[in-house]
Amino acid sequence: MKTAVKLFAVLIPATFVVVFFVYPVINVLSTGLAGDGLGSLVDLFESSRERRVMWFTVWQAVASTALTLLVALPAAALVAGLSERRRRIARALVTVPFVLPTVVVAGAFEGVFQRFGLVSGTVRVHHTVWAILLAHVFFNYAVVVRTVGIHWAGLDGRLEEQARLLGAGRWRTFTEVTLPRLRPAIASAASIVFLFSFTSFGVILILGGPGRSTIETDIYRFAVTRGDLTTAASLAVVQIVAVLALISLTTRLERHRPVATRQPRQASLAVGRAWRWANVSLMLLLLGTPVAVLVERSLAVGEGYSLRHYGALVHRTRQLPVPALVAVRNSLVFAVVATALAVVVGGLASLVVVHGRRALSRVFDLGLTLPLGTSAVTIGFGILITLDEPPLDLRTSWMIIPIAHALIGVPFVVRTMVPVLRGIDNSLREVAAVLGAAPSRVRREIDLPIGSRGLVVGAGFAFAVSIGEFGATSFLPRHSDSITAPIALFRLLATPGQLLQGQAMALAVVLMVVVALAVVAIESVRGTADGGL
Amino acid sequence: MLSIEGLSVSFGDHLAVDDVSFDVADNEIVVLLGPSGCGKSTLLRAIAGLQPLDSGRVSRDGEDLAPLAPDERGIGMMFQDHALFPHRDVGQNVEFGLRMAGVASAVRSTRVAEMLELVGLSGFERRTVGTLSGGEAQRVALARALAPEPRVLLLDEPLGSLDRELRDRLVEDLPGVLREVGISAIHVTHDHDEAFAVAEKLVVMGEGRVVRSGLPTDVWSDPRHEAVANFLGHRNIVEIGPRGEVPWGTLPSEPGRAVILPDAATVLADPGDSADRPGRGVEVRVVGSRFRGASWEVDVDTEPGGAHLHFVVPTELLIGQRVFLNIDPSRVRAVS
Repeated sequence: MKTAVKLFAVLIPATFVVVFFVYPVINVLSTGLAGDGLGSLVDLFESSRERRVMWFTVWQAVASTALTLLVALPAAALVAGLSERRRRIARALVTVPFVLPTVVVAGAFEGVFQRFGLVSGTVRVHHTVWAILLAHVFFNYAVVVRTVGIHWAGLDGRLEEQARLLGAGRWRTFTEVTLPRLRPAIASAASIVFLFSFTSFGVILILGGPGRSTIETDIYRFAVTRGDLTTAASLAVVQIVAVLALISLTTRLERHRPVATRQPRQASLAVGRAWRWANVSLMLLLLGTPVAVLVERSLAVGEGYSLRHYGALVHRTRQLPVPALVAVRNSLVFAVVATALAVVVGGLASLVVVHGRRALSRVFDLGLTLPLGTSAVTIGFGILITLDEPPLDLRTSWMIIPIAHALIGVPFVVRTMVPVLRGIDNSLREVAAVLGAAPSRVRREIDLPIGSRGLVVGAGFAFAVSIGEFGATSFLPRHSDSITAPIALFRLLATPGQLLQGQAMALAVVLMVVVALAVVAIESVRGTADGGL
Repeated sequence: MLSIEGLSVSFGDHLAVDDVSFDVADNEIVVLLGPSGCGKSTLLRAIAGLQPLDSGRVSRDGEDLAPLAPDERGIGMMFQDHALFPHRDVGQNVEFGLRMAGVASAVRSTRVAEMLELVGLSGFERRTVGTLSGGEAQRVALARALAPEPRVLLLDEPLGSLDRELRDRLVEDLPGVLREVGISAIHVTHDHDEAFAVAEKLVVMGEGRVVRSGLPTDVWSDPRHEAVANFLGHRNIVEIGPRGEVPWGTLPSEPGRAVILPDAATVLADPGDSADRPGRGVEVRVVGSRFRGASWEVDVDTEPGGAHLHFVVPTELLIGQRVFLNIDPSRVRAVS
């Protein structure tokens, strides 16, 4: 790369992350530790309510992780054993829940509880921890199936065959040959699920009800509902420290994760038909029910069905400053801008991670992944209390929303781009060089076209993330006419009454369709890119 | 002429290429032969400029190539796994080097068609790389390497990933294609059959060093080093005593280690005949016999001494048969 280009590739991402992430987070830290310094933190730990909140945050995350592994590991086995074509379909199917907006998922589960009478009575799930755990399993199912499934499908099946020939039974083969090789992937998936559950926001706010708080939702309650920024900042400090600890653990696990070799898999994973059907049924039940019920609820009017709720989306209601459909349009506009930002920042950063000097590469790799682990609420809160004064007063600018969304989208771009760029066989670059391409030309002819597929996939994720973003957006100052769809959905869900609930469901379905389209686009591009899982 | 002089490459403490020198004349095909891990691929990459040298010099017609980057050397290279660009179709792969050289589009497409015709893949321009068979991919890689008319072509085990039958066919085609375009080539392989089929000059490598080089027939019939003899598939390596003693009698050859070439033996017409003239033949028992079309490959144990020898003879011998063999002392070579 020429020096000027190199400089831009380093400076643009670095500036973006420092101004919109590092600086706000530091501001949160200093606010949280301001005044009597650690005193407010000590107060926090002395309050029995806050101790309860922290304890609940941890144990619901542990329970969510355990439950997700229990339900999703058999599915990972199933997916690993599928043929290439079917695996791609399965992969797309399980990915939809993962990228569905949290508010939509929360709304879908509310719908399920209403539909099956679980709101009150002997079997009450509504506003209990079970509601939260169910939603977390629904969300994170894809993380386990994809991470472990990819790894599993890449394992050399001949080892299992060898074990069987040496006299190991099916179960012994699994525990002694397969499981040890899967362990790194399982550990890595579990740590990601734990992190997501630990920082979960929309699900807990909506499904947990007023009685249940985690650190994340408490930051929101103190900052937005009560206006107590100091306590909110102290909580955010605790959250940041916990997340940093988790991330450093995760990256350590990632480092030990062996690269899956892409061996053509033999059909050695032959499993019983009954087992396979049980698994598929569970998958469909778990992932399908909320979606099906959501659609059903959006169409239900009184005793029959009609499209009335969808029609109502174009009209104004008292709860929203603009018609719901305008909020959808806002979200689409923000998502396009956020995606463009994320692609530029993430794309350049990926080049630095892959081709930059070692130290710089490490810093970029970690620095650009941090926003993914940092809770959305911390990001939103940081931007709220930081970018409100000159020279960077973005309170009145609509750009503040796409910027926050891009920040959360960048890690997705980097995470998909870097492996694609690293995966480019170096002999391709060497062939190009031998055929007369100078180094900058090699980048343009080899890295860029091959990497661009990774970029499209990352862009798809960034788009889906922006469309559904709720945690950070809920903090950001906004004009009444620039409300996003998830915020509108949250307000509709929070208002009782059959008519508005129906509208909420219709809005949720619209959001779900938009996101599903993005996922289908991602999967079709990825499918042609590597043909793998 | 391409000259490699005193070339060394190391990775940390490991000396991968150790003081290697040889020349490649214009339009000559040189084969670098050696077991895997002997440094031949590293040597090739060093010649292409992909691997920095510790010391030594690569020059073409007296011009040192050191200041030239890989893209400026005019050296073509074919990789072991072909390394076709997956995001480009066959035609785009072949024209890549021409595009880098700034050749006009119309000229490029003519040249691509010529190259594909040369390798027997006419009309493959718009095929995607993923749909090619192993042999087709290999030929596309060859066409791509030849298209920009490099003055030297380096081939790194280009047939390594192919199955035997296809390999044998391509081994026959490859020298023809190279001679047709008139190019110097360095071909790396670990297979001596492939090496003999392709080479005009053979350079045998071991542990980073050149251990023997010369015409293929010379190298084969006079390997000079025991390691080379072993590597070329010679099996009759014997210790000859100070007065020519061998386990089954005597050989009128220099004392020391020696290889008896597999064509050294003639079967004496009538064993009874040789009983009259003891000393002219050695009695052996046939323990293995394989029909090779025009000849038989036989394993024999010498009756006196029990030495295990291996010969190629023009007449059929049956397992268990006892015959007398005459060993031609001029087909016995000393090795070190």
